[in-house]
Amino acid sequence: MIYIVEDDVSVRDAIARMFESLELSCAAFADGESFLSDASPRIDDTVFVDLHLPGLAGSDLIEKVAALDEAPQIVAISGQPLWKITRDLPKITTTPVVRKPLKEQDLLVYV
Amino acid sequence: MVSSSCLHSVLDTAVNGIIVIDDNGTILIYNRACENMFGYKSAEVVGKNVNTLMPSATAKQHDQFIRNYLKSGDPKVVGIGREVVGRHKDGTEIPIELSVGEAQTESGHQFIGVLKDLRATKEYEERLRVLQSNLVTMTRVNALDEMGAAIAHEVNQPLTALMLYLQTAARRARAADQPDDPMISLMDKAVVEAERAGQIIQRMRNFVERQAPQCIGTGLATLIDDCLELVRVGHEADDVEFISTFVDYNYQLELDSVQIQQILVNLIRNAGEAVKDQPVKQVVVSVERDDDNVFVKVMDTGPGLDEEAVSHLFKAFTGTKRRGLGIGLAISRSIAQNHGGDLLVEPYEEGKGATFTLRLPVNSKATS
Repeated sequence: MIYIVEDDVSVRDAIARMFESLELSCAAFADGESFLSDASPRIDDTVFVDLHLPGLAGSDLIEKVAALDEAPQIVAISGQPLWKITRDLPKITTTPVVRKPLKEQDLLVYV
Repeated sequence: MVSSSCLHSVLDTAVNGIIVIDDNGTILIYNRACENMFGYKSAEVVGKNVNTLMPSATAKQHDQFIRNYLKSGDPKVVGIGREVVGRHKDGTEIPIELSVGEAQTESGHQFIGVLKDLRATKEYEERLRVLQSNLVTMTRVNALDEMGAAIAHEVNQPLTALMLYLQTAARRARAADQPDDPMISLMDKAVVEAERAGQIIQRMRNFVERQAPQCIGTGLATLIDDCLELVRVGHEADDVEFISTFVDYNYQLELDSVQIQQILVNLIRNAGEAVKDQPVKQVVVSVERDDDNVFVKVMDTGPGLDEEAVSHLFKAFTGTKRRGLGIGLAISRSIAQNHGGDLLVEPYEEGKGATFTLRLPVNSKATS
């Protein structure tokens, strides 16, 4: 299962449609809160998290998900400048970052 | 009638330099303030030509200046005063404000020069000028950066969606039972163009990325004083009182001083504008600290900001002013956030002015 947490509605839809067209099952969420309450990611899942989320920050969400017992693979997505990304990303994890604008290949290498 | 010793003590008490010469340019009186200004003792120069105290270009002509004046009575400096350049014993040039008077005495025509040392004033003006021009440059750079970053980020989103939609559509077209080749070719071309747009955005972003805050240890109290000084220049006429209550001059903070200065100058300047027509015209900058943060507060005695005004404050492009060093609160806030801090306005209180709080994180290297 692939999870997408992305607040921009078009980006979220485009990513979801892309995975669907490859017949990969995926679920998309607009913010960290709804992801945490509705999704139950498992160890062989992948979660794409936009760092720039309203409410619960992307970096906090990544920390929470990484702390799960059977933590899924996490990939951060960001359109921010590099120094903001390095400042925001939790330092304990080695979360890979995909930077916008992105192509499908950028995401497909992780699934 | 004053005694001669009394006259000498008057001369030596004077803050300004006083020199009396005769009509040949020979120094008759040279007071203590002059000794400090030029580095020569009185005994070294009394009896010598006054051009000893001038740079060579002026020194050569000075005797002629005196003769011209005595002949024509047409004053160039006598009774007028002007800014001139003197020469210190060590050869350095000294900016001086010189006023000259003349007297007919029993021993002939004499000239009295009163000299004000402008070195401190000049240095101060120069420092202020450099500060101001740094701020202006940084303001331009920051505005461009912010715009670049904003465009890069805003365009990124639709561009990402566009690229993924196109790639997905192209794949579907290929997988169709009867692939429409011209259609597929068009979609591939569209993907290439979207990629090209992406590369432009990336280049723009790389450019902006070089402009991360340059944080170095900075004395916060001095920085605040500098900001107040910069704003005072524009408020000399309307007696607004600008005060800083933070006097811990040993306190150092890691920050990009020019950027933080921009925020503070902006806040202090706004505050100065707000109190201009108030009975009490006061702007107070204070500092509070806790373990993780420093809070720099700018308080004014203006009319305050109601909820309606506050709701528009930090939005880009909503400002009502279009001049000066102001960089706008939207950019100020984003600079603060780039430092890991924030810029907030305290809620409205009846009868109180506005208070803006700049929060800056105290990082490990900061020392108190």
